[in-house]
Amino acid sequence: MVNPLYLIAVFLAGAFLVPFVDKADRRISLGIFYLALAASVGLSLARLMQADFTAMTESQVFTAGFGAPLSIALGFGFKEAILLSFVNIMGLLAGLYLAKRLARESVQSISLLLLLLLGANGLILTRDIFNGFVFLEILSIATYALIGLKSSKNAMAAGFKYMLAGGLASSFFLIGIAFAYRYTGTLNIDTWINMGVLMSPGYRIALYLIIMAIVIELKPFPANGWALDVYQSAHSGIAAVISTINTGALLFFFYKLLPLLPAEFMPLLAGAGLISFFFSNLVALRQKNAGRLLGYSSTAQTGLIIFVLTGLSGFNLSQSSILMIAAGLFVTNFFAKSGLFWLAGLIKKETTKSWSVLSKNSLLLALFGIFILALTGFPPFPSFFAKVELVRALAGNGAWVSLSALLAGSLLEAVYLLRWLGFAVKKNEEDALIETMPIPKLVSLMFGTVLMILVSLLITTKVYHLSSGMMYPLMAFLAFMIIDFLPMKTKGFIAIGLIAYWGWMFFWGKLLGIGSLFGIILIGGSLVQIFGFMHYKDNKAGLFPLLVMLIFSLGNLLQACTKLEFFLTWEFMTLSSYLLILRGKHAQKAALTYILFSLSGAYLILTGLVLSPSFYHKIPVYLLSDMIQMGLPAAIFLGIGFLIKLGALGVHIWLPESYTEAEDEFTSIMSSVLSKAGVFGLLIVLIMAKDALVANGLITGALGWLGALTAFFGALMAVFQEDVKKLLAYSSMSQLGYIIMGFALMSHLGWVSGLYLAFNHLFFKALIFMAITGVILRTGTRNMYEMGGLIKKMPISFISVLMGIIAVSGVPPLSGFGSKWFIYTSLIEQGHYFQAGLAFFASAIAFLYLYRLIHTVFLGQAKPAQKDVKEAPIWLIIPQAVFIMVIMGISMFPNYITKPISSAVSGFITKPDWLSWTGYNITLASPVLHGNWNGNLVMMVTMGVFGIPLVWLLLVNARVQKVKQFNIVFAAERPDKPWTTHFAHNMFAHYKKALGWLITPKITEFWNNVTEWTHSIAATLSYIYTGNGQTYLLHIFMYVLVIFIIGGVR
Amino acid sequence: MIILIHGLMLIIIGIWAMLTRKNLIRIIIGFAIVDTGINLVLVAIGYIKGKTAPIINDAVSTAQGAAAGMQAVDKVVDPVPSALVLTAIVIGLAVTALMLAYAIRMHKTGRSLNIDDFEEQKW
Amino acid sequence: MSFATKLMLSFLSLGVITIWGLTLNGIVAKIFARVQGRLGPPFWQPFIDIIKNNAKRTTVSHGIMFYLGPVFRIAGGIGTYMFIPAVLGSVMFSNYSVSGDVFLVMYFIFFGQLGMALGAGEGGHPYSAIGVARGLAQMTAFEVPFALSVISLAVQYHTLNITEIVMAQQGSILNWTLFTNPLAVIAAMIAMLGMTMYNPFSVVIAPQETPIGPPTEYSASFLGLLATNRGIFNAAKLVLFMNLYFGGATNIISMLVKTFAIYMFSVFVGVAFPRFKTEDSIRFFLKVPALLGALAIVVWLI
Repeated sequence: MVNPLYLIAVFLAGAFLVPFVDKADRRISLGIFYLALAASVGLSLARLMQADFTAMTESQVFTAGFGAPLSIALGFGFKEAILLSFVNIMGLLAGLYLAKRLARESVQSISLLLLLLLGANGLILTRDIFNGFVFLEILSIATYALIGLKSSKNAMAAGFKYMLAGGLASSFFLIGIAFAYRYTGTLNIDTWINMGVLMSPGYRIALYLIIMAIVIELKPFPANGWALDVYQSAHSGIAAVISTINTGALLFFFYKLLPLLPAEFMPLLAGAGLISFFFSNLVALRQKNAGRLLGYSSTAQTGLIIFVLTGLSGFNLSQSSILMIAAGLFVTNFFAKSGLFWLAGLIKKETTKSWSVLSKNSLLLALFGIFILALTGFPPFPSFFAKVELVRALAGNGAWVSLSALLAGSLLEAVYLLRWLGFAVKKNEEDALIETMPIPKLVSLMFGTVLMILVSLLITTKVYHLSSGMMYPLMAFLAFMIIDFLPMKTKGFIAIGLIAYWGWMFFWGKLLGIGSLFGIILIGGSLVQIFGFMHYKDNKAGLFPLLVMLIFSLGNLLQACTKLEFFLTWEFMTLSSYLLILRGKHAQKAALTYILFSLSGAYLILTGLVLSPSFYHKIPVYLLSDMIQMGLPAAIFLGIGFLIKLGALGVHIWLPESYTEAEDEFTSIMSSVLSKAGVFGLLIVLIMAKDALVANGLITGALGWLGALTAFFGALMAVFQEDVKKLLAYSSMSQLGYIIMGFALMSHLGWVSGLYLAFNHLFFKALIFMAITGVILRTGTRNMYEMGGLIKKMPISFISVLMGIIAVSGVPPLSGFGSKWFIYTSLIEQGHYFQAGLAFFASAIAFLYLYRLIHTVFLGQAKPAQKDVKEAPIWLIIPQAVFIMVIMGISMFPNYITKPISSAVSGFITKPDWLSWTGYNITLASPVLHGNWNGNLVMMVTMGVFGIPLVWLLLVNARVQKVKQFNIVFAAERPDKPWTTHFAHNMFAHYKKALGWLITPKITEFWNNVTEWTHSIAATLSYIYTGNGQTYLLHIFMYVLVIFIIGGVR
Repeated sequence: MIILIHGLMLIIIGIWAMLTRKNLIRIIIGFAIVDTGINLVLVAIGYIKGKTAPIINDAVSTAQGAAAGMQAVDKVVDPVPSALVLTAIVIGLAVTALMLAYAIRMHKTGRSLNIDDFEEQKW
Repeated sequence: MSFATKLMLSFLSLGVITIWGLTLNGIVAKIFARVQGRLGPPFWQPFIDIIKNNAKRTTVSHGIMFYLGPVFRIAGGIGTYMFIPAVLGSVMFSNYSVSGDVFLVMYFIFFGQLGMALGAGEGGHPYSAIGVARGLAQMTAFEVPFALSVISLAVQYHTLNITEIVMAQQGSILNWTLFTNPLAVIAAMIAMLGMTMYNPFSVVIAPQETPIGPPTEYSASFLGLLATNRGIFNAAKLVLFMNLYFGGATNIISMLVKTFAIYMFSVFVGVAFPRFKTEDSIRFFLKVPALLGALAIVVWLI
């Protein structure tokens, strides 16, 4: 076993040697410095490699040849070894990062950095409380002095405040030790633990003071004003050290002391930690200074770890799983936070907004993105698993208040972190390129990032045993990152080939029932649309990796078996789609809204998953769904989560924004494929909670009305849009409303109608979006009134849109009518007459926006500016052609789609006898409703009645005289500027007059108010940080006192 | 007992000074007073009746491990604290010195010794 | 029955309804003229117009969609009729009603309207688009009472099949929907006022402001097709109403009489009232008629 004393010796020797040799040459002293750091890393790693990790006491080392408490005991077990490895590696990286600075500054700073590490190492190793005090002070004094490295007024002030706070905390600590010694007669922590908790109130107060001193050092809200100042003004390298090494050592010391504490302390500490987590994140909302923001984030994360260490002790959890959660959070924060501080030091921009300089440097931007996403808790980073486990522990034990605080806090954290990411990707012409990039700083950054990713992958595979299939999205992402330099078309074909191969190997013929339906939608639907991306001439960096990752995660939804796999896949999907949206030119705000709603949805889904009965291994979720019956609470959580993804009325406001602002080709996938993931989820929930839902009709009734209102308001809002993509976005929302309505019926016919529409929606919406993508590409605008008469220039696109709108509107003979017929009959059959009535109204309204879409873009008067517009590129036409053929096919032969859907649904709800197919005729002979639809015959008749007049017209009208577009008779005159007569802008003014009051943006207003109020509260709360050192001292004093009184420590 | 009360009084006086005085030097003096108070408290309650001085003889087992240690401290006063109290005094000195150094540099950069003049970072 | 025979019979059926529809239009034009104190054209004027229009030598086209617009329009008219059984029990007049139920008919009505709207749109005349925008807006509104009324029938008769609905009304005049479900009939008849686009819902055509609305740019054989369709389409809708609400018809005479009578309702209202603005007609349909439609359903639920 490696003797821990070597560690202490290395640092001490280094710290004392450096000033001596510095007289000779700075290079020698720096050499010794790095040698010491490397030696410490080596020692801790060597200990980690040893296999003799047994009981705690076995790894103790006693100094001076005596047993404790006659000597100081040092513990060097597995936990210590891991933490020390991290801390010392970080020390090395921090030393590297500061290399230039250290070469310039006085030699003392080199010694101080070594002393700081000495303090941290000692604090982690020691098992003696007074010894702990000594190391704590060494750590603190070194830190105080290092803050002075930057001799600005603010840094000085911050350092002084820090010293005051630290001094007060040490005073508490010492007084506590003194009194505790009075009761125990020893200072050895293990001896104290063995004694058990003494009943004497004095002893408890002493313990309280000791633990609170450590808590104060961990910077809890609201007693942390001094710490924020330090983060804001200290040198970035030092701030990184404080937020990682200092915090790590202190947290471990805190953890060491926990067994001493009486059980009633735990909820107090847990509460303090959670409050710190929530409020730090809340106050951070208004913060514009990058360093201070990172400070808030650090204190929040520390608070969360305190909560984990103390709050979970009451639950039925093993020590090691609690530690695993804490470690997951800690490690992520450890690497991500240091990385962010280093980045801050590299780009030297104070406000978060000015971080847009990163958009010019893709390497730094990628690193920044990784750090932010890791902190937000996305997979595969350890914080994701930690949060999943945490939610599982809390929800599983009914700790609802804690759970809400945790999730709300996490959401607030996501708000400011991802907003920051939004700032960073925003292209700003004024920003200059970052030219000076010191190599040592970059090396630290890169090395830290690589380490974080390695640790993440290690945890993912070794601890959570995720199958490699679940990691395909990530692998695909990395693989495409490597080949990202290839031209677009090559990448496109590789992607198509890869996904087709994957689909063939893992899905084709292997999926059953609804699985195969969704396999076609999710994988097939996206596969066709990849063509659409291939028209770009320039190499769109990062597009294909994300796109492929998204498609793989969509496919994996069908492969996922356990809850963790399902949720992981879901988060991969959310993550990749968010980043894809963020690629839009002006999509920062929209992407933020999208990810916040998605994250809220994901949290609800996670909670629902925890509450639902456990899943079986090796059986995909969609197959499993019939074997499990969950209760209503789980179903409601899951259901709301998926409804958010669907953009149901009330939580829809992310939808139009993000559809509009995402890149045009991707909007097509979002609308046609991605939204079906929500459909899939909702259907799974309905299947899994079938018994409970059928027993309680209220919820499905409400769901049905929600669907109907979504359909209605979506259509109505689409009518009044000038932006073509927004119009289509609302149209998608409306269509998804019909799907919800069908599913809510919980009947065979209802589910058939929902699924039939899901298919149709994929085909026609992708068709329209692809065509419109071409139009936007060629005209360069999204405003429909700026277009017109494009039918002559883009005839194929026109045909696509024409087919699309006929299918959307449900006009026979195209397949859209089938969805209308199914939905009305299923609603009426189940007695939902008024929902059917509202659906009818919504479908009629659809004609308004569909006519507007096709007329203002393709018909009417052409704009002179667009007279040279060409047809869309072939790559956009290919998917359109495919979808047109599919629509024609299923319109002609509806059985190919209706029958498989019906048989898939009959796995869950038996097909009633009164629903039958004779040839192409679907007959409905229920006792309450008769009806029929023969799609094939309708098609034939329509072709007949269309063909005959056409032939007639061609015969009588042989000599038709073609005239120019502008040749119209307008009030008996030829208008001077005919294009000004294009009837497009505010087309349905009369409709707005009549029904416009229905769409006053009440819901948007509500969400804006929520945002506004949260920010106002955050701003108000932030005023407690007055900047005055004495006020901060008072905060600390009051903090200790208030918790003492609340907790009633006696 | 008197020492203990004196020590606690010094702590309170010191904290009061830290909280109310505006001059940096006075705040540091307040901190020094707290420090002294704490050391007094340590001296006052560190003495444990009925045990001998920590000198190793046959009566004291030197075996390692917490249980043996417990046995040992039944007979002798734990020697570690007294050693560490010395350290604490030194640490107090160091912190005070560092604070004073800070005060000097703050005066240099901020041209003031009033703590209210160092409030630029807030919210 | 062979495919060819069926096709022949359908043509016959179509011929009958075309002649009857055009005649009805002529009669109505006459009535309007008389009410307004004019002599008016003879009732066979529509036939003359059609022949004349088709015989025109020159015709103007703005493009393919413009060309196809009237085809869509008349296909919509014929198709609508083809999916309705016009006379109960008659093989000839059963048309292709086995293709679907009343929803098919209701949606096929849109086929012609949509195609026409697109054709007119390519014409590039603002009046066309204005007319279409108005017509669509008004359509969404009157669809509500009509749809509710049809749903009420589904509740009443447990079927959407038109033939079955007609069957259920046989036996006595008191079995007609008119007497068994008067609320639904009232709602539907008001909706029909909107469909026929006579006053007070004539803002789509609005002769004084937008010459004739959507067909503004159409001439010659295009106009001929449109005029033919006006006869077929009107008659088809009348037949639909007759089937749903007035006991259907068991022979051709009763079909002619009933459709004439139903038509006269909207004509009488049309001559007596001034015109609504678009937004007013939308509000109108969504108030009392929609409420009546809803009541018609509620009545059957109690």
